[in-house]
Amino acid sequence: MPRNQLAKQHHVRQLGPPPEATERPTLVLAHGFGCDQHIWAPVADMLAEEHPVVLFDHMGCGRSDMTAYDPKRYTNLFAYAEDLANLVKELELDRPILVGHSVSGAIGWLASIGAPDLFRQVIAIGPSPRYINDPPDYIGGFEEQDIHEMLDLMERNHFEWAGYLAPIVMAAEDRPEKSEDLRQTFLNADPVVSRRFAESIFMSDIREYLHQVTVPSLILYSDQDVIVPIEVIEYLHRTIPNCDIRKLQATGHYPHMSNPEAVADAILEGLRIEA
Amino acid sequence: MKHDVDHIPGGLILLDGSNTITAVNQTLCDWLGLSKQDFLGHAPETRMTRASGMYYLGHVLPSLRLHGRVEEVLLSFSNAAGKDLSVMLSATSCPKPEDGFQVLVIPMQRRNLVEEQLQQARKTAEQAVAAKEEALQEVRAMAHELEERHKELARLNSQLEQLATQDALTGLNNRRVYEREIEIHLALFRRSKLPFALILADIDWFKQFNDRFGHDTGDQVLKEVGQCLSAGMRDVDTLVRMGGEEFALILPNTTLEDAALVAERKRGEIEKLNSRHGTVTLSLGVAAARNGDTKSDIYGRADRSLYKAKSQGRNQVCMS
Repeated sequence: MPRNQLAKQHHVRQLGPPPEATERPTLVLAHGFGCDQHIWAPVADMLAEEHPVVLFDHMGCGRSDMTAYDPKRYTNLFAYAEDLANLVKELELDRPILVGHSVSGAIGWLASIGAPDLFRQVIAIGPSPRYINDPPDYIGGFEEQDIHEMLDLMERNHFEWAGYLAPIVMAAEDRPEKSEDLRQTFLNADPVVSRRFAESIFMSDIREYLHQVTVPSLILYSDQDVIVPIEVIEYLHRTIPNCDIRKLQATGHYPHMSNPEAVADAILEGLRIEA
Repeated sequence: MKHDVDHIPGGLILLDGSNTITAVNQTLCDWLGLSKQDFLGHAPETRMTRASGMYYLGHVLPSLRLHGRVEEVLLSFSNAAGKDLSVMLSATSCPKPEDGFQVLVIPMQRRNLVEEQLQQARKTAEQAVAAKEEALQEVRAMAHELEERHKELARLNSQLEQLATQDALTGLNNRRVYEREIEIHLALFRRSKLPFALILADIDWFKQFNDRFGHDTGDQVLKEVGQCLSAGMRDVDTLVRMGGEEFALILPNTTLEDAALVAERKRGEIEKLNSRHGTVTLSLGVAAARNGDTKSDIYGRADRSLYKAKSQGRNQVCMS
């Protein structure tokens, strides 16, 4: 494999000081479902003032290389975890800290099980090991029916963006923000790929693996998170061996968008800086 | 334009930058049977169905923040009575310097029915395609199985062919092979004048031997004689058990004299065979192909020679 192949495939961008120029740990920011690395923009800039920051797109999202997307492979979270581990290795990062939003928290934990020294810490924002309720003992927040309804919604809303309409719309309307970047994001929003990602996320159940997670973990959560109820956070807190939780001064499932300062501060305060 | 947005035929929601509702118009409240206080200070997804809330958070909000607008998104709000209201939602960023979004929702209950039917139809079509694909796979699997069976059949046929041309007791060729080979050699002889010879061999006193020692012993002798005859034969030669105690040897490219030498050698070898039941001897008649021979001509000459060998005292070779 040529050097930097994965970095190219995942559209890696590095901000802040070069990792080799500072003692501070590198932060790898991993986006969640439905978005790409852009979601981190304000938080990433704040973190990059002091830390090396690595941004990337999960395969099939954002500006990742669609030609490298293998539909047979990306049917569960382990493929994404493997990608993440390989990417960290290719970039030769020295035990970085993973900051994973939503599903990327789970992906980070899965990656850490296979390689316990991969990360020095996993900071998960609004993570969940299983979204579907499993009565009587587990509350995930959703019924399976909800998930199917959401997949149907995705299908209905994305159907018209399936390849051919997006460029027409983009060409027909004169918008200031019509950049190649935006166009690319639309083109990459392949509804089939998005749906598969949604299925592998919302049908996932990684509860049985949590006790194997040895990496120090910090969970950041917020009020009014419709995706992840507080019961899930509590479940993770008592199940993952080495795990702290911390409530953010923010609401909703996207605190890094709604209140980037609070998230950046919480990340910086929660860092385990080792000698 | 001065207008009362509270009662326009569309729902209007204003969000601040952190996705919190700061204003909502009366129309939306009426549709959902909620008061403005039920909205204010909350996130919009808290008033949606769970699936729509997920979709809003997973797709709509990120897209709105990323691109500053979303258009024609289908999703559902939940009303006070727990019934769903399907809407089409469009939103844009508020004009600067305000930080937030303005969201317009239009009910589309009727439109929604059409959409649902379309989606259902598409799913049915997809299932049909999948079923077709499955059927195709099945046909392929059957074709494969058929091919396998053909191979098996060919194998069985070749086994059958072997059985049909083999003498079960001695493992030598049977008379069918003699009939085929003699024709082939006569045809070759007619065309290319390649000489060939036929030796008929018959075990002496075999009937008496059988009567005295029993059939099992007789069979044993037949096997031993067969093995002895086949030892040292060329690939092109054909050894056949004609039936009973009679054997035939077809020797291509061989003159009468050479064939007689072979016959004599075999006679000596059989005589020396140390059978448990005493000495076994062989009488042999040799003939070589002549112009105009039919298969009964050459067989007849060899047979007469064999008869001669028998009548002259057995354990000898005669030729003609």
